[in-house]
Amino acid sequence: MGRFKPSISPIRDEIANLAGMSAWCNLIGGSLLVMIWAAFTYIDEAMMYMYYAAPLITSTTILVMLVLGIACVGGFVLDCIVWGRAITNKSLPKVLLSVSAIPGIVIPPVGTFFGILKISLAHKVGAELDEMKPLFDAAGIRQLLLLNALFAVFSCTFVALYIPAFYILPLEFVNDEELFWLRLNIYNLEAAVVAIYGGLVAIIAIAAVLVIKQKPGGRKFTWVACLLMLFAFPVGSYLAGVIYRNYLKKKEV
Amino acid sequence: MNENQTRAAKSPPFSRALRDGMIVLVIFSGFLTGLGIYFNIGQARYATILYHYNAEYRAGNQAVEDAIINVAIPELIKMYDRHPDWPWTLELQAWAIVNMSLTDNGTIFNMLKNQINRGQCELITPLWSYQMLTAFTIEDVNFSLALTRETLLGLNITRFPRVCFFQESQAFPGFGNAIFKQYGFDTCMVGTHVLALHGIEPVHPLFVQRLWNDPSTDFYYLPYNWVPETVQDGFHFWTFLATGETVTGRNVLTGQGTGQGEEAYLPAPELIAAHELHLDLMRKSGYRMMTISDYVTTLVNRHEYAMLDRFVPETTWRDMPGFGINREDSNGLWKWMGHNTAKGNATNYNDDGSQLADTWRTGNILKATRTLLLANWYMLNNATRTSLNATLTNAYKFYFRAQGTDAYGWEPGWIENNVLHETDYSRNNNHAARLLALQVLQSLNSTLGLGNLVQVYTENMYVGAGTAAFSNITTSFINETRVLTSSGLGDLPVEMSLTIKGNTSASTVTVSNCSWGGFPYQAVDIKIPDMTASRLKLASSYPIWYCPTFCDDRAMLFSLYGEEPFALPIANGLVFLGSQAAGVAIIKNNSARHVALLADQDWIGYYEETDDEDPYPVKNVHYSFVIFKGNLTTAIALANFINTRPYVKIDMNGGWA
Repeated sequence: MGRFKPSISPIRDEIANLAGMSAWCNLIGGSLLVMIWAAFTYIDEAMMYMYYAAPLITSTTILVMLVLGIACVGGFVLDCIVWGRAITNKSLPKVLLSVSAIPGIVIPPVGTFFGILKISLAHKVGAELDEMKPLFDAAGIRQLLLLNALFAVFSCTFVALYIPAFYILPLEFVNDEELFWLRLNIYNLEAAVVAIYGGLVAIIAIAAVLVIKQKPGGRKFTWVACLLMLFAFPVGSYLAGVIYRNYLKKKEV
Repeated sequence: MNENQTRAAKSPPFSRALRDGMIVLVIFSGFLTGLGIYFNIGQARYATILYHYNAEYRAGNQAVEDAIINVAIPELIKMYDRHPDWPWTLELQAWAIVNMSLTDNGTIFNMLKNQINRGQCELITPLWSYQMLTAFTIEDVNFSLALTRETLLGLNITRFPRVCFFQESQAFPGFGNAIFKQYGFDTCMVGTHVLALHGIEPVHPLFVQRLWNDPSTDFYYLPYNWVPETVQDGFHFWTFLATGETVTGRNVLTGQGTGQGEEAYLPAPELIAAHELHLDLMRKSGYRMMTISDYVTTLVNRHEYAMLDRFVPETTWRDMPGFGINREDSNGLWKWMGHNTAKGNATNYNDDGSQLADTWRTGNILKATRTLLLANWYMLNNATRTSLNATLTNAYKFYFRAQGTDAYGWEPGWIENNVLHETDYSRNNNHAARLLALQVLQSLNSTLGLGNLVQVYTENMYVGAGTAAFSNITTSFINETRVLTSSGLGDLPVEMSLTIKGNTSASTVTVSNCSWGGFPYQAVDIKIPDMTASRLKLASSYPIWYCPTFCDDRAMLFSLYGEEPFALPIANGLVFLGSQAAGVAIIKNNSARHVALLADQDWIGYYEETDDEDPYPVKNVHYSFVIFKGNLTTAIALANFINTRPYVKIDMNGGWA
């Protein structure tokens, strides 16, 4: 992608990044969903586990996974077309961007995020597609940081409340080796996710305040926040890239 | 420039789009957070707990028995005594409850009794021992239910559950029989995975099973699972549902058969403390803990159940995540009725079919003894009949132990320090039961002068009086006439073929033309000196007729569901091929060899196998079958005469005990 950069506008560049990231997510997510469907449908042991998880996982939800998986694979193809056209300076019709958003939009939160982004861009990008003006101003970065902090707060609360409610507290198989291992790992995973989100919230919030008030240290905190967001694949890492390219990489906004 | 154009000029398109996407994400996350809060605060969370304790976990090892009954369970009872408002469910066999009541002046038992009688503890103790009840007869289970209830009432236990959980999670359509309902049992627990095996998606918290479209057979199946289940106003969780030792002690289920001694069953204080803390956390978090029966009552009162649209045959646990058990081992009853294992340091082979037949023959003797006792009840003085009845009841107690599942399934041939061999547990208890029965018979004979040889008609067991129940005049006996033929399996009116892995050259198959009590039939006797596997194929297509256990007088059409084989206990021995009006019955004589019928994709028959890891051959195998052409009703009657309510000849001099 890099070798095309000198010849394309910043907006095309970001559209290419967006389509590229969305394509990866569609490919990984779609493959996973189809594989899960295939496993639950064709592998005996997996089928049995499906019934353990009922009513959370049923034959209906497995079928929905297949449909969504196929939609994701379709989305991957469309994303590749958008990405290719963006970096080769070809026209990007609004309808193409909008259609490429449809398969993912029904798969929250990642697909929905990228879908809304694409539709929003399709609606807003017009003649300025090939203008070489900067993509972000200071207000945009502030806005983004604040929204990120809010998103992280919600995610943190969700993980802290939702998972324990269903998968930790009620289940106790203290001494069964495999289940104990599973439970221990859910605990660890839970603790790790909450800790990461908690740290992220604090750092993004501090960065946002410092950037908004134009105080020293704002860029350093944003650096750290971006570094942590890299681990929150795919939305976090994508946004980290956006902030890096449009704020941290530049001397002045 | 208007306001929008001004804003657009200030904020580039990508920035605006990103903001939109982010807002969506925030809204979605807010929604999920709301869900998290809702599930935590806005939804009911019911929690039930079942400690399945088995004092016959290492059947016959008294040190393990004592560790479970009088050391491990008391710790749990004490824990719940510290929290009188914590409901719980304990499952244990009746003899173990009696054992507990006799230990330590009954201190712990009284604590438990108080918890039961005030409704804190739900005691699921329907049977005397952890019997493999689905392989045996309705008379047996009826006696066991009655004996248990009488014993518990005698111990001043006054509250009883509506729910049953049976050893090895046996669940069976015969649970709809009135013999269970007379004690208030109307709900049988069954694994969701077992329902799934028969094509039932466990999307309801409770099911109703109805057989033959007859409402009198209705009962509830309560599916259990290890993940949350949705109910009308929230969720239901099985906080714990497994072998109790895993919560109070260091018993690792995956280590079964590797030589666990009593130390594996002793309580570990830190585990109990962790368990107590865990339950405390749950209560403080808003979980509504309740007994399983109370939970079922809640569901029933709200009509939260669905009618099953199909028949589920006799089933067991099957494997569960984390147990590391080969799932084919326990599809149905095969693990206990055909999979011969002799693991560990076994010095003796295990033979399910032979041992089950030994137990079956003991049951026949007890039924005959009971029939004779009841038939002559009023000819005996009160002291004698009371004494004989007590002795016979004692014999039944041994007999029910002999039916214990661990004497047949998993590793019954496993042995440790020459003190434990679970097959011996069954063998020895059968012997003890027969000796006691002989005492009763000889006492009856000395009082009434019945003679040396008596034929008892156990189908008249409940008549209560009169000579119709037996004959002691040998010329009046109903005897079989038998003429040996030169026919082989290929000459029978039904497909029947035998494959043996073992000593095939010395194996014999004989076919005789017989008549007994007005029934004409062919008898097939197959004798195999030793084998490690055998397959007796009976048919190639479905459906077949069989009588579900405890439904001895009604047959059900059975077809295999799905791709996996499934084993039926065939407790009255009957497999019927054809229409109700005309067909062929293949009746297995359970007194000769009692194994499960394996239903596979393209064949149905009796299949046995010795564990590949320890291929001890089983010896002196004797299959005995009756082949009868006629209608289904007559075939059922014949099967019951041969197996469930047999005509038993008794030599009063003994020698058979």
